[in-house]
Amino acid sequence: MKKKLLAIALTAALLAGCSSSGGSNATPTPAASEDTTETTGWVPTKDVEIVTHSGVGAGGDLIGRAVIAAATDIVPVNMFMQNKKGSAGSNVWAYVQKGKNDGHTLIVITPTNILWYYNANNGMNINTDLIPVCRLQYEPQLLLVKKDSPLADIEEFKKAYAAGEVTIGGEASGGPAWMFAKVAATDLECDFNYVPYSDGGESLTGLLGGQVDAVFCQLGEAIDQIKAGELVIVAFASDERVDAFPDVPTLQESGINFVFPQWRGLALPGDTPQECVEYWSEALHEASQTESFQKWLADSGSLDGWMDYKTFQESTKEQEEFIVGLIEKYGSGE
Amino acid sequence: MTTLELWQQIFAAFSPMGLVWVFVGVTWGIFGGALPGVTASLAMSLALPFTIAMDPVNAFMLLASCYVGAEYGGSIPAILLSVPGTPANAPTAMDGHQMHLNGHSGKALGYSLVGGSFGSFFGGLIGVFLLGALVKIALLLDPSAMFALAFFGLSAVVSMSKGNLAKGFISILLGIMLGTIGSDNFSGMTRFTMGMIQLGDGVSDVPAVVGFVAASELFGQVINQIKEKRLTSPMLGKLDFTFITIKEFFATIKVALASMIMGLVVGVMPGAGPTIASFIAYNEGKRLSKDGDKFGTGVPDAIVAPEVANNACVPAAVVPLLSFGIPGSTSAAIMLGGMVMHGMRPGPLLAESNPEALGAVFLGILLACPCLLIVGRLMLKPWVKVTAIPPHFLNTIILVLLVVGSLALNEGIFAVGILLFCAFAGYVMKLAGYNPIATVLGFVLSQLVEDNLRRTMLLSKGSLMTFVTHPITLVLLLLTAGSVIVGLRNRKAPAKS
Amino acid sequence: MSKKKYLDMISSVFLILLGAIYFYAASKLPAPLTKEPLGPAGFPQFLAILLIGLSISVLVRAVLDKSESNNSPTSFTARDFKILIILMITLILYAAGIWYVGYIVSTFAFCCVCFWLMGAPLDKPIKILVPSLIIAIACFVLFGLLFKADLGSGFLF
Repeated sequence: MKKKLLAIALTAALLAGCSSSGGSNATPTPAASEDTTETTGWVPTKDVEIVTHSGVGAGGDLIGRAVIAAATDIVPVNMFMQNKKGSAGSNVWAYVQKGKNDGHTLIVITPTNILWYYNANNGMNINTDLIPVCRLQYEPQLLLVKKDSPLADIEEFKKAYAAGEVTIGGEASGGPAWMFAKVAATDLECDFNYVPYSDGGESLTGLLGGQVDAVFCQLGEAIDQIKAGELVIVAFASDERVDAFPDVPTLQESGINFVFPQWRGLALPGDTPQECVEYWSEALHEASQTESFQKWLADSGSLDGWMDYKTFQESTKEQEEFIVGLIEKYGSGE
Repeated sequence: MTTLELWQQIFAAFSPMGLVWVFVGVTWGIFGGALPGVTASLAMSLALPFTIAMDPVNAFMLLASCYVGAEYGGSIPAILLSVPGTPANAPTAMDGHQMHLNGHSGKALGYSLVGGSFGSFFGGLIGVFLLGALVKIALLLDPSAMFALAFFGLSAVVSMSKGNLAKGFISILLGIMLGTIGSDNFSGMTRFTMGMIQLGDGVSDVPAVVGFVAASELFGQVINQIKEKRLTSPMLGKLDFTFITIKEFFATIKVALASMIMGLVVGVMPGAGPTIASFIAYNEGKRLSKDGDKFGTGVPDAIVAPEVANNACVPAAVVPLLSFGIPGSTSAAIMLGGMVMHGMRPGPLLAESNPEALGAVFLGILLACPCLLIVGRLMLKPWVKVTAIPPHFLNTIILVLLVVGSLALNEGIFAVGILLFCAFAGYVMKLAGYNPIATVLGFVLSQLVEDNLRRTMLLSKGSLMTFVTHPITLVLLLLTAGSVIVGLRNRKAPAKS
Repeated sequence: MSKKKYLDMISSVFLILLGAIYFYAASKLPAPLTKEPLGPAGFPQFLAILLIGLSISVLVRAVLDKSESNNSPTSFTARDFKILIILMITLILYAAGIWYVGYIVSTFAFCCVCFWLMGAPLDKPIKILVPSLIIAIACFVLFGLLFKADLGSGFLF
C-alpha cells in the first residue's frame, strides 16, 4: 500500500510540477497597466492567439513564442500559441476562416505559404486571404559546398555546373532549392542536375557524406557548419550582399538571376479592420526591437528583417509575382 | 570534444534538482507511454512547453529521461492488455501478454523494465565512449545503405507472420501503400489524397499506428466483452507481482547484448527509430535465443529483445542530433525543438558553444535508468492491479484514451477519423488472417524505403550496381537474404513435424 | 460466408481491386519535375503489381485448397458482425459529438453507452453515471487544461 501511495505521490508531484512551471510561461502574465500601449484607438481586449502550421519546437512555433516573450510588456493581454500543424497550411486556413477577424488572431506566414498555395493548391493566399502585418525575421538562402572543394568560387561553380559535373541537393522539388537549380540551368544553358532530400538538414548530411557536390538551403540551417569550417558559402540568393559575409557574392551579380528571400512574418485574417493592422504593426515593431527578440534572432542564426505593413505587403506581392512567373515558366508540382 | 571532456560535462551537469527532474521525466514518460494513444514523441511534445521556463540543463535532462521512460512505459499495456502503448512495443505484446496470461505478470513487466534500463544505460555508456565512431556510422550510411537497412527491417515479416506467408507480405505492402499517401518528398506533389486536403501531409502517423496496433486489438476485446458481459476481471485472484531475479535476467544476457547493439546502430540512422529496432531485434532474437522455437508462448528472451533494442535507441538517436543537428527519430526531433527554444543550435558547434547541453542529455539518459528501475518497480503493483478493474470499465477507459490521444495532436477531428478507419481496417484484416502489425511496420518504413531507393537511383544515374559496390549496403542486403532464408526454413520445419 | 475459404476469396478479390485502383491512380500522376529513373509513380506502381500478384496467389490457393482447415468455419459470427457495426457507429457518433457538441458532454454520454453495451447493470445508475463523469472530467483536465490540447470546438464544453 505504501508503495502504491508513493507511486501516486510521484505522479502528483509530476503533475503539480508541470502545472506550476507551465502556468508561468505558457500564458505569460498580462502587463501591469494599459497605458503603455499605443493610442490608435483599438487595443486587444481578450487573449490573443498566434496560429502556426509548425509543431511545437519547429520554426514557426519558435518565432511565435519569441514574439510572445518580447511583447509581454507591450501588449496588455495574454498571448498564446495555437499549433495547427500539417496539411500544408490548410489546417491553419480552416481554423482562421470563421469568426477570427476581430484582431485577436495572428498567423505566422512564410514564403512557403505562397508555394503551397500555388504548388499544392492548399492553404491560403497570403496576399488576398490574409493581411500581412509585419516581417520579423529574414534568412538569406545560400549555395554551399564542402571545405576544400574547387567549386567554392562561383565562376568555377558555374563552369562545372554547365559541364554537368555538379549535383545540387536541397528540399523537395518545387521548393526554392529546386527553383535555383532550374534557373541556373536555364541561365547557363545546360542540363539541370538536382537531388531532392526531405529537408535542408538532411541534404546537408548528404553534402557532408559526399553524396552531392553542393547544397542550396537557408543560412540558419548551415551556420554552424560554416562557422566550424566544414562548409563554404559559394553565393547568396539575396538582392544585396549579406552584412556578415561581405566577401561572398550574390547569385544575381554573378549572372544567375535568382533572388529568393526566406522570411517569417505575421498576418491577420482577411477582413480584419484596418485599425487592428495598424495597432499590431506598431506594437510588434516595439516588440521586435526589444533586447530579448534581437538576442533570439542572433541565437537562431537569422537576421532582423523588420518591415511594417506597407512595405511588407508590397514585398509579399512582388515575391508572389516572382513565384508565379517561375511556375509559369518551369511548371509546378501539380 | 574528447570522451574525457564529455565525462566532465556529464558530472558537471549533476545537481540534486536535476535528479528530481529526472524522476519527474521518467514518471511522466512511463505514464505517457503507458497511455494507449500517447506515443513516446507525443508524451515528449506535451511536456515540451513546460520546459521553456526551466534551466536548460534541467530541461534537457527532463526530456531525455521522459524519452527513456516512455520507451518502457509503452510495454506496460502491451504486456497487461495486449494493447501496445507505442508501435515500438508491438513485438513485446506477443510474448509479454502471453506471459501475463500464464500468471507471471510481475515477471513479464520485470523483463521489460530491467531490459529497458539495461538497454538505455549501457547503450548510453557506449554512446558516450564511442560518440565519434557513432557519428561516423551516421555519415557512412548513404541512401543505398539506408534503403538496405529499412529493407532489413521489413524482412522481419517472414518470421512474424503465422500461416499464409503471402498474407504477411500483403499486409506489409498495404502499410507501404498507406505511407505513400500525401506529399511526395521527392517531387513535392501530393499523391493518392482522394481529394482530402487533410491528407496533404500524409496519413498522420500517431493515429494510424495506434489504430492498427492498439485499437484493432482492443476492438476484439470489446466485442467479446459485449457478447459475454462479464462484470469481474478474469485476472482477479490470479494477479502475481513476483519480480524477476538477477539470475533470471542474466539468463537472457546474450539476446540483450545483441539487441542493444542492433538498437544502437538502427537508432543512429535518421528517420528509423525505435520501431524498426525492436522489430529487427525480435526477429534476430528468435534466431539467437535457445528458446527461438518457443517465441510466441511467453518466453523471457522475446520480451527482452525488443525492449532492450527500443531503449538502446534513445542514446543512439541523440547522437546525430548533437553532432549534426539532425534528429534520429521523431522523439529526438522534439528534443531538437527543446534545445532551440533555449537558444541553442544542436550541430557541430554545440560541443564548443554549449557543452553543458551534451552533458545534460547524456546524464539525463544515464540517470534515467536507475530512476526507471526504481519508479518502474514501485509502480509495478498498481499497474498489474489495473487488470483487476472490471473489463467493462477498463475497455471504455482505453477507448476514451485512444480518442483523446489523437485529439492531443491538435490536428482536429480528422485524426480521430484516421484512428477509427485504421482500427476498423486492422480488425477486419485480423479476421481475414492478415497481420495489422506488419502493416504498421510497412507504414513506418514506407518513406524511408521509397525516398532512399529513388535517391540512390538518382545519384547512381539509374545503375543498380550501387547496391553491390557499397560495402555496408551489400552486408545489409546479404543479412536480409540470410534472415529471410532462415525464416523460411524455420517455417517449413515445424510444418513437417 | 463464415468459412475461411470464402473469407480468403472475398479479401483477395477486394485487394486485387484495390491494387488496380491504386495502380490507375499512380498512372494518372503528372510527370515529375526532376528527371529521375523512378518517378513519383514508379514505386507505387511496383507496389500495386506486387499486391495484385500476391492477392491472386491467395485467391488461387483458396479456390484449389480442399483441406479440412480451409473449409472450417471461422469463429466470427453474424452476431460479431452486428456488434462491430454498433461499435463503429457509437465511435463515429462520439467523434461527431466531440466536434459539434463538446468534449465533456459527449465523452460522458459515450462512457454511459459503452458501460451499458458491455453489460453494466442498469438497476444501479449511479455506478454508470459517476465513473463516466469522472473519466470525462479527468481527461478534460489532463489533456484540455494541463496540456492545452484542442479538444474540439462544440457549443458545450
